[in-house]
Amino acid sequence: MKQWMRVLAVGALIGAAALGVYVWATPPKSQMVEYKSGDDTVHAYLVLPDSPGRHPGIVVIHEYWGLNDWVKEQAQKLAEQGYVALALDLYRGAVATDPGDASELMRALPHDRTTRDLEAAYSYLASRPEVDKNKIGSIGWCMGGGYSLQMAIHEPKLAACVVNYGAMPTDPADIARIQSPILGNFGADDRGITPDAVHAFESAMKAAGKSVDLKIYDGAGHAFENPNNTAGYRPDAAADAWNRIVAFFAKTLKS
Amino acid sequence: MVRLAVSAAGIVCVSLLGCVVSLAARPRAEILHFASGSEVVASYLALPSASGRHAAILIVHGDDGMTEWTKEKTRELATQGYIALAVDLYRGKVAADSEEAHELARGVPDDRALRDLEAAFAYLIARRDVSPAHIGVIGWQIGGWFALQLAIHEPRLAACVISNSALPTDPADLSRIHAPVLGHFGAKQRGINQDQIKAFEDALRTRGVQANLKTYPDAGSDFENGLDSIQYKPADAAAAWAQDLDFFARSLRE
Repeated sequence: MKQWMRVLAVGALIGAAALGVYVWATPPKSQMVEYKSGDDTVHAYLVLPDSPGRHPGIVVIHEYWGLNDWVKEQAQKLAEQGYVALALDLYRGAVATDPGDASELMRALPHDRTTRDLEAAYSYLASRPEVDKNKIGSIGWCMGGGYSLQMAIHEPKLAACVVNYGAMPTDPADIARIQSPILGNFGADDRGITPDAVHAFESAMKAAGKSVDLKIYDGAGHAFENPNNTAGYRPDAAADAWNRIVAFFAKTLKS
Repeated sequence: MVRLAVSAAGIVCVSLLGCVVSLAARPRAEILHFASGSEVVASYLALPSASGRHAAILIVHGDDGMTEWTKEKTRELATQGYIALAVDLYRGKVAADSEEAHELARGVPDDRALRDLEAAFAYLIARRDVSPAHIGVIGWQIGGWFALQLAIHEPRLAACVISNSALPTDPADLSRIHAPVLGHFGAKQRGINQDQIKAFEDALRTRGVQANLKTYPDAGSDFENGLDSIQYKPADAAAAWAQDLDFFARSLRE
Protein backbone atom coordinates (compact mmCIF):
# COMPACT_ATOMS: atom_id res chain seq x y z
CA MET A 1 0.00 0.00 0.00
CA LYS A 2 1.22 3.41 -0.80
CA GLN A 3 2.19 5.70 2.01
CA TRP A 4 -0.59 8.21 1.31
CA MET A 5 -3.21 5.46 1.28
CA ARG A 6 -2.01 4.21 4.64
CA VAL A 7 -2.23 7.71 6.06
CA LEU A 8 -5.72 8.10 4.64
CA ALA A 9 -6.86 4.75 6.01
CA VAL A 10 -5.47 5.44 9.47
CA GLY A 11 -7.01 8.91 9.37
CA ALA A 12 -10.36 7.46 8.37
CA LEU A 13 -10.17 4.91 11.19
CA ILE A 14 -9.35 7.57 13.74
CA GLY A 15 -12.17 9.72 12.40
CA ALA A 16 -14.65 6.86 12.56
CA ALA A 17 -13.53 5.99 16.07
CA ALA A 18 -13.84 9.59 17.18
CA LEU A 19 -17.32 9.82 15.69
CA GLY A 20 -18.28 6.58 17.44
CA VAL A 21 -17.03 7.86 20.76
CA TYR A 22 -18.85 11.12 20.15
CA VAL A 23 -22.16 9.41 19.40
CA TRP A 24 -21.77 6.96 22.27
CA ALA A 25 -20.86 9.69 24.72
CA THR A 26 -23.40 12.27 23.64
CA PRO A 27 -24.63 13.61 26.92
CA PRO A 28 -28.34 14.04 27.53
CA LYS A 29 -29.69 17.24 26.06
CA SER A 30 -29.59 20.09 28.54
CA GLN A 31 -31.02 23.58 28.33
CA MET A 32 -32.02 26.46 30.57
CA VAL A 33 -35.79 26.91 30.76
CA GLU A 34 -38.12 29.34 32.50
CA TYR A 35 -41.44 28.88 34.22
CA LYS A 36 -43.81 31.05 36.23
CA SER A 37 -44.08 30.82 40.01
CA GLY A 38 -46.73 33.28 41.19
CA ASP A 39 -45.65 36.61 39.68
CA ASP A 40 -42.01 35.51 39.50
CA THR A 41 -40.10 33.81 36.71
CA VAL A 42 -37.97 30.88 37.83
CA HIS A 43 -35.00 29.65 35.81
CA ALA A 44 -34.15 25.99 35.74
CA TYR A 45 -31.68 23.60 34.17
CA LEU A 46 -33.58 20.93 32.24
CA VAL A 47 -31.96 17.70 31.06
CA LEU A 48 -33.76 15.27 28.75
CA PRO A 49 -32.81 11.63 28.24
CA ASP A 50 -31.73 10.59 24.74
CA SER A 51 -34.52 8.11 24.16
CA PRO A 52 -37.89 9.15 22.70
CA GLY A 53 -41.23 8.80 24.44
CA ARG A 54 -42.39 9.70 27.91
CA HIS A 55 -40.10 9.44 30.92
CA PRO A 56 -40.45 9.84 34.65
CA GLY A 57 -39.44 13.30 35.90
CA ILE A 58 -37.35 14.43 38.86
CA VAL A 59 -37.21 17.87 40.47
CA VAL A 60 -33.62 18.50 41.58
CA ILE A 61 -33.12 20.94 44.48
CA HIS A 62 -29.76 22.59 45.11
CA GLU A 63 -27.67 23.01 48.25
CA TYR A 64 -27.14 26.34 49.97
CA TRP A 65 -24.55 27.17 47.28
CA GLY A 66 -27.23 27.65 44.64
CA LEU A 67 -27.64 26.13 41.18
CA ASN A 68 -23.96 25.37 40.60
CA ASP A 69 -22.15 22.91 38.34
CA TRP A 70 -22.31 20.06 40.86
CA VAL A 71 -26.11 20.17 41.01
CA LYS A 72 -26.30 20.38 37.22
CA GLU A 73 -24.05 17.32 37.09
CA GLN A 74 -26.46 15.43 39.36
CA ALA A 75 -29.31 16.38 37.00
CA GLN A 76 -27.20 15.08 34.08
CA LYS A 77 -26.56 11.82 35.89
CA LEU A 78 -30.26 11.36 36.56
CA ALA A 79 -31.07 12.04 32.90
CA GLU A 80 -28.54 9.36 31.95
CA GLN A 81 -30.65 7.03 34.06
CA GLY A 82 -33.67 7.86 31.92
CA TYR A 83 -35.32 10.68 33.83
CA VAL A 84 -36.31 14.17 32.75
CA ALA A 85 -34.41 16.16 35.38
CA LEU A 86 -35.32 19.75 36.28
CA ALA A 87 -32.84 21.54 38.56
CA LEU A 88 -34.51 24.78 39.56
CA ASP A 89 -32.80 27.94 40.78
CA LEU A 90 -34.29 29.03 44.11
CA TYR A 91 -31.80 31.92 44.32
CA ARG A 92 -32.86 33.84 41.20
CA GLY A 93 -29.43 33.65 39.59
CA ALA A 94 -27.13 33.96 42.59
CA VAL A 95 -24.49 31.28 43.13
CA ALA A 96 -22.08 31.28 46.05
CA THR A 97 -18.56 29.89 46.23
CA ASP A 98 -17.83 31.14 49.74
CA PRO A 99 -19.63 29.61 52.77
CA GLY A 100 -20.43 33.05 54.20
CA ASP A 101 -22.15 34.11 50.98
CA ALA A 102 -23.97 30.78 50.78
CA SER A 103 -25.27 31.22 54.33
CA GLU A 104 -26.51 34.70 53.49
CA LEU A 105 -28.34 33.45 50.42
CA MET A 106 -29.93 30.62 52.38
CA ARG A 107 -30.92 32.96 55.18
CA ALA A 108 -32.47 35.42 52.74
CA LEU A 109 -34.69 32.83 51.11
CA PRO A 110 -38.41 33.26 51.89
CA HIS A 111 -39.57 29.72 52.60
CA ASP A 112 -43.05 30.44 51.28
CA ARG A 113 -41.62 31.53 47.92
CA THR A 114 -39.57 28.35 47.76
CA THR A 115 -42.62 26.18 48.37
CA ARG A 116 -44.36 28.06 45.55
CA ASP A 117 -41.34 27.57 43.25
CA LEU A 118 -41.31 23.84 43.96
CA GLU A 119 -45.02 23.36 43.33
CA ALA A 120 -44.62 25.31 40.10
CA ALA A 121 -41.63 23.11 39.16
CA TYR A 122 -43.81 20.06 39.62
CA SER A 123 -46.52 21.56 37.41
CA TYR A 124 -43.96 22.56 34.80
CA LEU A 125 -42.54 19.02 34.60
CA ALA A 126 -46.05 17.55 34.50
CA SER A 127 -46.86 19.80 31.53
CA ARG A 128 -43.84 18.68 29.47
CA PRO A 129 -44.68 16.27 26.65
CA GLU A 130 -41.62 14.11 27.51
CA VAL A 131 -42.81 13.52 31.09
CA ASP A 132 -45.13 10.88 32.52
CA LYS A 133 -46.97 13.13 34.97
CA ASN A 134 -47.86 10.24 37.27
CA LYS A 135 -44.18 9.49 37.82
CA ILE A 136 -42.57 12.63 39.20
CA GLY A 137 -40.13 12.56 42.09
CA SER A 138 -37.87 15.00 43.91
CA ILE A 139 -34.33 15.00 45.26
CA GLY A 140 -32.37 17.56 47.24
CA TRP A 141 -29.17 17.92 49.21
CA CYS A 142 -28.52 20.00 52.32
CA MET A 143 -30.98 22.92 52.26
CA GLY A 144 -32.53 21.35 49.16
CA GLY A 145 -33.02 18.08 51.04
CA GLY A 146 -35.26 19.85 53.51
CA TYR A 147 -37.19 21.37 50.62
CA SER A 148 -37.50 17.98 48.94
CA LEU A 149 -39.43 16.86 52.02
CA GLN A 150 -41.50 20.04 51.94
CA MET A 151 -42.42 19.09 48.39
CA ALA A 152 -43.64 15.70 49.64
CA ILE A 153 -45.82 17.53 52.20
CA HIS A 154 -47.27 20.02 49.74
CA GLU A 155 -47.58 17.89 46.59
CA PRO A 156 -49.74 14.80 47.26
CA LYS A 157 -49.10 13.40 43.76
CA LEU A 158 -45.33 13.28 44.23
CA ALA A 159 -44.30 9.66 43.56
CA ALA A 160 -40.83 9.55 45.14
CA CYS A 161 -38.81 11.80 47.45
CA VAL A 162 -35.12 11.69 48.27
CA VAL A 163 -33.58 13.75 51.08
CA ASN A 164 -29.84 13.98 51.57
CA TYR A 165 -28.95 15.52 54.94
CA GLY A 166 -31.91 17.92 54.95
CA ALA A 167 -34.13 19.11 57.80
CA MET A 168 -37.08 16.86 58.54
CA PRO A 169 -40.61 17.88 59.53
CA THR A 170 -41.73 17.09 63.07
CA ASP A 171 -45.37 18.18 62.96
CA PRO A 172 -47.59 15.06 62.88
CA ALA A 173 -50.08 16.93 60.68
CA ASP A 174 -47.34 17.58 58.10
CA ILE A 175 -46.13 13.99 58.25
CA ALA A 176 -49.71 12.79 57.74
CA ARG A 177 -49.80 14.72 54.45
CA ILE A 178 -46.79 12.86 52.99
CA GLN A 179 -47.97 10.37 50.36
CA SER A 180 -44.70 9.63 48.59
CA PRO A 181 -42.16 7.01 49.69
CA ILE A 182 -39.12 8.66 51.26
CA LEU A 183 -35.46 7.70 50.89
CA GLY A 184 -32.92 9.49 53.07
CA ASN A 185 -29.13 9.58 53.40
CA PHE A 186 -27.55 11.22 56.44
CA GLY A 187 -24.14 11.61 58.05
CA ALA A 188 -23.75 10.47 61.66
CA ASP A 189 -21.49 13.46 62.38
CA ASP A 190 -23.86 16.11 60.99
CA ARG A 191 -24.02 18.76 63.71
CA GLY A 192 -27.35 20.22 62.65
CA ILE A 193 -29.28 17.08 61.72
CA THR A 194 -28.41 14.56 64.37
CA PRO A 195 -29.02 10.80 64.30
CA ASP A 196 -31.64 11.42 67.00
CA ALA A 197 -33.57 13.69 64.64
CA VAL A 198 -33.31 11.07 61.87
CA HIS A 199 -34.58 8.33 64.17
CA ALA A 200 -37.43 10.53 65.40
CA PHE A 201 -38.54 11.22 61.83
CA GLU A 202 -38.29 7.55 60.92
CA SER A 203 -40.42 6.57 63.94
CA ALA A 204 -43.01 9.25 63.19
CA MET A 205 -43.23 8.13 59.55
CA LYS A 206 -43.58 4.46 60.45
CA ALA A 207 -46.17 5.23 63.13
CA ALA A 208 -48.16 7.04 60.46
CA GLY A 209 -47.88 4.01 58.14
CA LYS A 210 -45.62 5.78 55.64
CA SER A 211 -42.91 4.25 53.47
CA VAL A 212 -39.49 5.41 54.67
CA ASP A 213 -35.91 4.19 54.22
CA LEU A 214 -33.28 6.27 56.01
CA LYS A 215 -29.60 5.43 56.25
CA ILE A 216 -27.07 7.05 58.55
CA TYR A 217 -23.43 6.80 57.46
CA ASP A 218 -20.85 6.46 60.22
CA GLY A 219 -17.76 8.58 59.82
CA ALA A 220 -19.61 11.00 57.53
CA GLY A 221 -20.90 14.49 58.29
CA HIS A 222 -22.70 17.25 56.50
CA ALA A 223 -22.52 17.23 52.66
CA PHE A 224 -20.52 14.00 52.46
CA GLU A 225 -21.73 13.30 48.91
CA ASN A 226 -20.16 16.41 47.37
CA PRO A 227 -16.47 16.15 46.29
CA ASN A 228 -16.21 19.95 46.44
CA ASN A 229 -16.59 19.60 50.20
CA THR A 230 -12.94 18.59 50.33
CA ALA A 231 -12.72 17.95 54.06
CA GLY A 232 -16.08 16.25 54.39
CA TYR A 233 -16.37 14.22 51.17
CA ARG A 234 -16.67 10.48 51.83
CA PRO A 235 -16.34 8.69 48.45
CA ASP A 236 -17.50 5.26 49.64
CA ALA A 237 -20.52 6.60 51.48
CA ALA A 238 -21.29 8.89 48.53
CA ALA A 239 -21.16 5.96 46.08
CA ASP A 240 -23.41 3.87 48.31
CA ALA A 241 -25.87 6.74 48.68
CA TRP A 242 -25.96 7.23 44.89
CA ASN A 243 -26.65 3.52 44.36
CA ARG A 244 -29.48 3.72 46.85
CA ILE A 245 -30.89 6.76 45.03
CA VAL A 246 -30.73 5.06 41.62
CA ALA A 247 -32.40 1.90 42.95
CA PHE A 248 -35.08 3.86 44.80
CA PHE A 249 -36.05 5.96 41.78
CA ALA A 250 -36.06 2.86 39.56
CA LYS A 251 -38.43 1.13 41.97
CA THR A 252 -40.75 4.08 42.54
CA LEU A 253 -40.72 5.85 39.18
CA LYS A 254 -40.03 3.18 36.55
CA SER A 255 -42.28 0.36 37.70
CA MET B 1 -47.03 25.69 56.87
CA VAL B 2 -49.40 23.87 59.14
CA ARG B 3 -49.87 25.47 62.45
CA LEU B 4 -49.97 23.29 65.51
CA ALA B 5 -52.05 24.73 68.27
CA VAL B 6 -50.10 24.61 71.48
CA SER B 7 -52.08 24.71 74.66
CA ALA B 8 -50.89 26.91 77.47
CA ALA B 9 -51.96 24.11 79.76
CA GLY B 10 -49.19 22.03 78.24
CA ILE B 11 -46.58 24.14 79.93
CA VAL B 12 -44.85 22.01 82.50
CA CYS B 13 -41.81 22.01 84.64
CA VAL B 14 -40.55 25.51 85.17
CA SER B 15 -37.23 25.04 86.82
CA LEU B 16 -35.12 27.75 88.27
CA LEU B 17 -31.47 26.97 88.04
CA GLY B 18 -29.94 29.87 89.84
CA CYS B 19 -28.14 32.77 88.27
CA VAL B 20 -30.13 35.02 90.57
CA VAL B 21 -28.28 38.26 90.75
CA SER B 22 -28.29 39.90 94.12
CA LEU B 23 -27.95 43.49 92.99
CA ALA B 24 -31.45 44.94 93.03
CA ALA B 25 -30.96 47.13 89.99
CA ARG B 26 -29.91 44.27 87.77
CA PRO B 27 -32.39 41.89 86.21
CA ARG B 28 -32.80 38.39 87.52
CA ALA B 29 -31.97 35.76 84.94
CA GLU B 30 -32.70 32.06 84.99
CA ILE B 31 -32.92 29.01 82.80
CA LEU B 32 -36.54 28.18 82.11
CA HIS B 33 -37.96 24.96 80.68
CA PHE B 34 -41.29 24.92 78.87
CA ALA B 35 -43.12 22.34 76.78
CA SER B 36 -43.29 22.65 73.01
CA GLY B 37 -45.35 19.79 71.61
CA SER B 38 -43.83 16.65 73.09
CA GLU B 39 -40.46 18.32 73.72
CA VAL B 40 -39.10 20.37 76.57
CA VAL B 41 -37.29 23.50 75.47
CA ALA B 42 -34.69 25.26 77.57
CA SER B 43 -34.75 29.02 77.36
CA TYR B 44 -33.29 32.03 79.11
CA LEU B 45 -35.62 34.27 81.10
CA ALA B 46 -34.67 37.69 82.44
CA LEU B 47 -37.01 39.58 84.76
CA PRO B 48 -37.15 43.28 85.63
CA SER B 49 -36.38 44.16 89.22
CA ALA B 50 -39.62 46.10 89.68
CA SER B 51 -42.76 44.26 90.75
CA GLY B 52 -46.15 44.44 89.06
CA ARG B 53 -47.22 43.76 85.49
CA HIS B 54 -44.83 44.23 82.61
CA ALA B 55 -44.77 44.10 78.89
CA ALA B 56 -42.86 41.06 77.57
CA ILE B 57 -40.50 40.33 74.69
CA LEU B 58 -39.53 37.05 73.05
CA ILE B 59 -35.93 36.95 71.83
CA VAL B 60 -34.97 34.69 68.92
CA HIS B 61 -31.28 34.10 68.33
CA GLY B 62 -29.34 34.38 65.07
CA ASP B 63 -27.69 31.63 63.04
CA ASP B 64 -25.00 31.09 65.68
CA GLY B 65 -27.50 30.09 68.37
CA MET B 66 -28.23 31.37 71.87
CA THR B 67 -24.85 32.91 72.50
CA GLU B 68 -23.69 35.04 75.43
CA TRP B 69 -24.49 38.04 73.24
CA THR B 70 -28.10 36.86 72.89
CA LYS B 71 -28.34 36.47 76.66
CA GLU B 72 -26.83 39.91 77.15
CA LYS B 73 -29.50 41.43 74.89
CA THR B 74 -32.14 39.55 76.87
CA ARG B 75 -30.87 41.01 80.15
CA GLU B 76 -30.73 44.49 78.61
CA LEU B 77 -34.41 44.24 77.70
CA ALA B 78 -35.23 43.19 81.27
CA THR B 79 -33.27 46.20 82.50
CA GLN B 80 -35.59 48.30 80.34
CA GLY B 81 -38.56 46.87 82.22
CA TYR B 82 -39.60 43.95 80.02
CA ILE B 83 -40.02 40.31 80.92
CA ALA B 84 -37.58 38.93 78.39
CA LEU B 85 -37.58 35.30 77.23
CA ALA B 86 -34.92 34.02 74.82
CA VAL B 87 -35.94 30.78 73.12
CA ASP B 88 -33.27 28.27 72.16
CA LEU B 89 -34.28 26.87 68.76
CA TYR B 90 -31.06 24.82 68.65
CA ARG B 91 -31.69 22.80 71.82
CA GLY B 92 -28.54 23.85 73.63
CA LYS B 93 -26.13 24.00 70.71
CA VAL B 94 -24.09 27.11 70.04
CA ALA B 95 -22.03 27.41 66.86
CA ALA B 96 -18.26 27.62 67.23
CA ASP B 97 -17.76 28.84 63.65
CA SER B 98 -19.76 29.89 60.59
CA GLU B 99 -19.77 26.36 59.15
CA GLU B 100 -21.40 25.00 62.26
CA ALA B 101 -23.81 27.95 62.32
CA HIS B 102 -24.89 26.97 58.83
CA GLU B 103 -25.35 23.33 59.78
CA LEU B 104 -27.40 24.27 62.82
CA ALA B 105 -29.53 26.77 60.89
CA ARG B 106 -30.16 24.26 58.11
CA GLY B 107 -31.07 21.58 60.63
CA VAL B 108 -33.93 23.45 62.30
CA PRO B 109 -37.32 22.12 61.20
CA ASP B 110 -39.53 25.11 60.33
CA ASP B 111 -42.53 23.57 62.01
CA ARG B 112 -40.65 22.92 65.23
CA ALA B 113 -39.29 26.47 65.44
CA LEU B 114 -42.74 27.99 65.02
CA ARG B 115 -44.14 25.57 67.59
CA ASP B 116 -41.41 26.63 70.04
CA LEU B 117 -42.25 30.30 69.60
CA GLU B 118 -45.98 29.73 69.91
CA ALA B 119 -45.36 27.72 73.08
CA ALA B 120 -43.11 30.48 74.43
CA PHE B 121 -45.79 33.05 73.63
CA ALA B 122 -48.37 30.89 75.43
CA TYR B 123 -46.05 30.67 78.41
CA LEU B 124 -45.63 34.44 78.56
CA ILE B 125 -49.29 35.29 78.11
CA ALA B 126 -50.20 32.89 80.93
CA ARG B 127 -47.85 34.60 83.40
CA ARG B 128 -49.67 36.78 85.88
CA ASP B 129 -46.97 39.43 85.76
CA VAL B 130 -47.21 39.80 81.95
CA SER B 131 -49.54 42.32 80.37
CA PRO B 132 -51.17 40.08 77.71
CA ALA B 133 -51.79 42.81 75.18
CA HIS B 134 -48.16 43.91 75.26
CA ILE B 135 -46.01 41.05 74.04
CA GLY B 136 -43.45 41.59 71.31
CA VAL B 137 -40.70 39.64 69.57
CA ILE B 138 -37.20 40.40 68.30
CA GLY B 139 -35.11 38.10 66.10
CA TRP B 140 -31.85 38.27 64.19
CA GLN B 141 -31.11 36.40 60.95
CA ILE B 142 -32.84 33.01 61.09
CA GLY B 143 -34.55 34.26 64.26
CA GLY B 144 -36.02 37.19 62.34
CA TRP B 145 -37.69 34.85 59.88
CA PHE B 146 -39.27 32.94 62.74
CA ALA B 147 -40.23 36.19 64.50
CA LEU B 148 -42.20 37.06 61.38
CA GLN B 149 -43.72 33.58 61.33
CA LEU B 150 -44.93 34.23 64.87
CA ALA B 151 -46.39 37.56 63.69
CA ILE B 152 -48.26 35.66 60.97
CA HIS B 153 -49.58 32.94 63.28
CA GLU B 154 -50.17 34.87 66.52
CA PRO B 155 -52.60 37.77 66.04
CA ARG B 156 -52.12 38.94 69.64
CA LEU B 157 -48.46 39.80 69.03
CA ALA B 158 -48.05 43.56 69.55
CA ALA B 159 -44.60 44.32 68.09
CA CYS B 160 -42.05 42.60 65.85
CA VAL B 161 -38.41 43.52 65.30
CA ILE B 162 -36.31 41.72 62.69
CA SER B 163 -32.72 42.03 61.61
CA ASN B 164 -31.23 40.67 58.39
CA SER B 165 -33.84 37.99 57.92
CA ALA B 166 -35.80 36.64 54.99
CA LEU B 167 -39.16 38.29 54.34
CA PRO B 168 -42.38 36.39 53.64
CA THR B 169 -43.93 36.92 50.21
CA ASP B 170 -47.17 34.96 50.29
CA PRO B 171 -50.04 37.53 50.18
CA ALA B 172 -52.17 35.31 52.43
CA ASP B 173 -49.42 35.21 55.05
CA LEU B 174 -48.68 38.93 54.76
CA SER B 175 -52.35 39.76 55.27
CA ARG B 176 -52.25 37.98 58.63
CA ILE B 177 -49.57 40.25 60.12
CA HIS B 178 -51.09 42.73 62.57
CA ALA B 179 -48.08 43.70 64.67
CA PRO B 180 -46.05 46.73 63.62
CA VAL B 181 -42.69 45.66 62.18
CA LEU B 182 -39.30 47.34 62.54
CA GLY B 183 -36.39 45.88 60.56
CA HIS B 184 -32.66 46.40 60.05
CA PHE B 185 -30.75 45.27 56.98
CA GLY B 186 -27.10 45.58 56.05
CA ALA B 187 -26.78 46.70 52.44
CA LYS B 188 -23.64 44.61 51.90
CA GLN B 189 -25.30 41.28 52.48
CA ARG B 190 -26.26 39.05 49.61
CA GLY B 191 -29.77 37.79 49.19
CA ILE B 192 -32.23 40.33 50.56
CA ASN B 193 -32.58 43.18 48.11
CA GLN B 194 -34.35 46.53 48.13
CA ASP B 195 -37.17 45.23 45.94
CA GLN B 196 -38.03 42.58 48.51
CA ILE B 197 -37.82 45.10 51.35
CA LYS B 198 -40.10 47.54 49.53
CA ALA B 199 -42.58 44.81 48.56
CA PHE B 200 -42.83 43.73 52.19
CA GLU B 201 -43.28 47.29 53.46
CA ASP B 202 -45.90 48.05 50.82
CA ALA B 203 -47.86 44.89 51.58
CA LEU B 204 -48.17 45.86 55.25
CA ARG B 205 -48.62 49.59 54.80
CA THR B 206 -51.49 49.25 52.32
CA ARG B 207 -53.35 47.47 55.11
CA GLY B 208 -52.49 50.20 57.60
CA VAL B 209 -49.90 48.09 59.41
CA GLN B 210 -46.75 49.95 60.33
CA ALA B 211 -43.63 48.63 58.60
CA ASN B 212 -40.29 50.41 58.80
CA LEU B 213 -37.34 48.51 57.31
CA LYS B 214 -34.04 50.37 57.52
CA THR B 215 -30.94 49.79 55.46
CA TYR B 216 -27.38 50.38 56.70
CA PRO B 217 -25.11 51.18 53.74
CA ASP B 218 -21.80 49.99 55.18
CA ALA B 219 -23.08 46.97 57.09
CA GLY B 220 -23.38 43.28 56.34
CA SER B 221 -25.71 40.57 57.57
CA ASP B 222 -24.39 40.31 61.13
CA PHE B 223 -23.54 43.91 61.98
CA GLU B 224 -25.35 43.97 65.32
CA ASN B 225 -23.60 40.93 66.72
CA GLY B 226 -20.86 41.98 69.12
CA LEU B 227 -19.35 38.50 68.90
CA ASP B 228 -18.81 38.74 65.14
CA SER B 229 -15.31 40.20 64.97
CA ILE B 230 -15.49 40.73 61.21
CA GLN B 231 -18.98 42.07 60.63
CA TYR B 232 -19.74 43.93 63.86
CA LYS B 233 -20.35 47.65 63.27
CA PRO B 234 -20.60 49.32 66.67
CA ALA B 235 -22.16 52.60 65.53
CA ASP B 236 -24.78 50.94 63.31
CA ALA B 237 -25.49 48.36 66.00
CA ALA B 238 -26.01 51.08 68.61
CA ALA B 239 -28.31 53.00 66.27
CA ALA B 240 -30.38 49.88 65.54
CA TRP B 241 -30.65 48.98 69.22
CA ALA B 242 -31.75 52.50 70.17
CA GLN B 243 -34.51 52.29 67.58
CA ASP B 244 -35.51 48.86 68.87
CA LEU B 245 -35.90 50.20 72.40
CA ASP B 246 -37.85 53.22 71.19
CA PHE B 247 -40.09 51.02 69.03
CA PHE B 248 -40.83 48.63 71.89
CA ALA B 249 -41.45 51.56 74.25
CA ARG B 250 -44.07 52.94 71.86
CA SER B 251 -45.64 49.60 70.93
CA LEU B 252 -45.63 47.75 74.22
CA ARG B 253 -46.13 50.26 76.98
CA GLU B 254 -49.62 50.67 78.34
